[in-house]
Amino acid sequence: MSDNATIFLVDDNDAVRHAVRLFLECRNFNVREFASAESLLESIRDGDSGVLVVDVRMNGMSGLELQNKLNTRHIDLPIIFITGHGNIQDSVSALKAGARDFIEKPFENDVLLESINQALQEEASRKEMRAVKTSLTRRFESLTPREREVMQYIAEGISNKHLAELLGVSSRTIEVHRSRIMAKMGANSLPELVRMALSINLIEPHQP
Amino acid sequence: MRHRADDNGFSMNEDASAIEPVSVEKPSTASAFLLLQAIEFPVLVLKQDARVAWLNAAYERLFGFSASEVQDSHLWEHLVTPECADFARRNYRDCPEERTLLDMQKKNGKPAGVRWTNHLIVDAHQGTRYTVLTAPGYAGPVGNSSISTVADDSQVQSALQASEVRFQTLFDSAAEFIFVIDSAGKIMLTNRAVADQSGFSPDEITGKNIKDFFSEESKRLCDCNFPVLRERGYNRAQVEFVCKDGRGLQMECSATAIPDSNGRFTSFLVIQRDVTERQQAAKALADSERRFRAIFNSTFQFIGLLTPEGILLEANQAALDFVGASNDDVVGKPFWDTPWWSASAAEQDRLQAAIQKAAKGELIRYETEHVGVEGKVAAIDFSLKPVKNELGETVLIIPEGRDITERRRAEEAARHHQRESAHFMRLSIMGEMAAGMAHELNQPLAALISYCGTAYSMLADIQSVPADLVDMLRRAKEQAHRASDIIRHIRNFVAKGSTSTGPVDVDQVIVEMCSFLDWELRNSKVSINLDLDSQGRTVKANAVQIEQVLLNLIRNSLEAIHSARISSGQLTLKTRLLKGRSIRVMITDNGPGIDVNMCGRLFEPFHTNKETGMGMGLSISRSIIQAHQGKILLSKSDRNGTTFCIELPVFD
Repeated sequence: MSDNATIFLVDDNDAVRHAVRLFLECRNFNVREFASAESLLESIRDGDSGVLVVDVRMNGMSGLELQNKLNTRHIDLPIIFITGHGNIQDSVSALKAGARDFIEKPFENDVLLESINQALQEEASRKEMRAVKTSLTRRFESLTPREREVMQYIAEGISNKHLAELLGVSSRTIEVHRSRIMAKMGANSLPELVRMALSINLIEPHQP
Repeated sequence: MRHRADDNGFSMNEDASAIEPVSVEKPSTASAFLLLQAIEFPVLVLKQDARVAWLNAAYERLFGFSASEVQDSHLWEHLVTPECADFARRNYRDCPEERTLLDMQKKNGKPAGVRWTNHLIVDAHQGTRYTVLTAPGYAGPVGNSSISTVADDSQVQSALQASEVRFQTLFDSAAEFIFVIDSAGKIMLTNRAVADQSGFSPDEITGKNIKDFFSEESKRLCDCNFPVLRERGYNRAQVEFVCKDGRGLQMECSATAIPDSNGRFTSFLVIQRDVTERQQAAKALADSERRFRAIFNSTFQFIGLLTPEGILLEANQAALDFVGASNDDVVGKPFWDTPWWSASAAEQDRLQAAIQKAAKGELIRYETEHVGVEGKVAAIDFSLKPVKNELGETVLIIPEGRDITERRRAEEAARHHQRESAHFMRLSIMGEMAAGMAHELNQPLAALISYCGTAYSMLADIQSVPADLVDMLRRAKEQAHRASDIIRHIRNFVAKGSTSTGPVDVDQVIVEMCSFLDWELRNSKVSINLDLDSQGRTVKANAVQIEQVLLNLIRNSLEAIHSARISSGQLTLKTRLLKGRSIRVMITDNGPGIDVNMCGRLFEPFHTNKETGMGMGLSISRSIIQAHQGKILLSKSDRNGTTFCIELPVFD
């Protein structure tokens, strides 16, 4: 699954960069290396995907500052920090700002690999979730306004009969709407429809 | 001579009333001269150095010397026997006793013992002192004076005139009151001093009874003493003479009878010396003595007096209280045998040796420990001060002890603080170095481990690789990990230093630190200005660490000022409360500023522009301040100076 994923490697130490690059390339990653945070910021683009492996303390902009810059630019790539100067404060603020991991130098290759794989996995499932959500949203948008209204009521758990009274139509009409909604959304059961409504934020999850 | 004296009204008649009118009309020093000249007994006047100033006719007659022969020769040169010369010299060179018995010598060499009564007269104008020797009891051969027989001799006459002038000068310039009174006390003659000093005119004095000028008490004394005077021919008393303005003069009064031709005491020479001042001086001396004694006894220092042999003459109250002794317990004993020294034989020996040195004039000073009452041990700064006379001989030794226990304790506390501070500094440097080294070393180690790991996994896929090679790679990687572990271990060990925190008054830390830095500041001739206003708020901190940071910054400033050879170095420490949430400390110097190339990495370890620096100071400072959730930054640096700024959150 790591095949050809891109790793953005940012470290001002040439030896570290070279060694890590060698290792990652052995593991079939596509490595883009940068000697400073500034040079990464210059070349990274909005659509880029992959994992950032960033040294904390560097000449010029630090890894933590880079993290802030990326956040403000809404570049939402997972970041793994590597540091030769592990201190709790740095790691706490990095993790608070959304870092995926914080690894102290020197580290075993496998530790970094595992962290990268985990980040990629999470990234993949997030991507999948995003894709599902996108398709559901698209399907929801294909409903008529009336069907969207009915779907929301159904997802909120209102019975056909009650809904018919509420909308001033016959129960039969409601049943027709319902079967169309199920077909258009591709849901096989009511619970599945409710899950769909939840994931596109049509309804609020019930507080326990 | 006697005849002339009689003409002037000074007969040796007991009936004073008969002569009174004349004496009142013409009181004159010449008369006194004539009187003394005419006196039947010898009178000798000596100058301060005991040279002969004058002698009377009776002396000339009785001993055969003429005044001109012995004029200005010392008393002991011709007038006394050679055997008596030493005694005379001793007695008359300084202040003669009241009465002296001298073996006088006649011109023909025959000895004659004379009991002299000595009167002291001081010349009021020149301060010269004269001693008037009278011998009323000396019975010479009675008869016409030799002078009268040679009265026609013009040479003798002119000598006599010269003698008269000398006497007159003496009599009138005397500061003493000189009276001639009759046997009832009526004043027949006075010198100028009486009128000058008492305020009475000569007319108001002459003819009055001498008692009239005395205070009531002195009058009574006079009544008692007069019969004694008449009986013995001389007397001495102290009386109070009341001046015209009511002032009382304390007079030391000596009186000598002047016998008439029949040997009866019909008139008296009275010499009074004003001792008011002397008495006042004596009283002042007593007061002063009392005051000094009060100081001596109330001081907290231990003071005493020793003879040069080390015998204790006196010890003050503080010293006595220290060992719980009384004066009687210790006075008169050798100092080393007193309770102050009884605790240690070695100290006693040391003291004895020290006293011997002090007796030779050396100032001795050393520190000892003494055990006082209740076993209290005191550190004493002890000294022995020799007191010398004008010949340079040690006549007294003043032992003095100052209790320096408190000072000792404070010094010890300061030293302890310094040691602790130095220890903390060493730890900080080690910690910072370990952290810095860890960072620097972990980079190559990271690369090394990564290379090894990659190489190892690449080789693992190849069949023909020697097993040893794979093993060596594995071991190389292991050793790299081990190096990293060692570094981490050192870092953790050093980081475990004491970090107990509490509310710390930054202003107080600064004030204490300045007293601590006093020497360095004086040495560098930098003046320090404090502008402290934390409004009584404290920060949550470790005081020693905060002090360390401030010391670092101050020492940097001092070095900067020193290296730029700035003559009037200024260092300002300012504290302010910011929005009630944090305290800001600003350290400003007027040094040359920081090199712009340094500014960027100022707080990084191993960066320094000092030749002997390690580049740890500011790095440690930042670590400490960050650990306190504070900030440290360079807020200004140019040619005119540098300001560092520290902010620490207040303690809630």
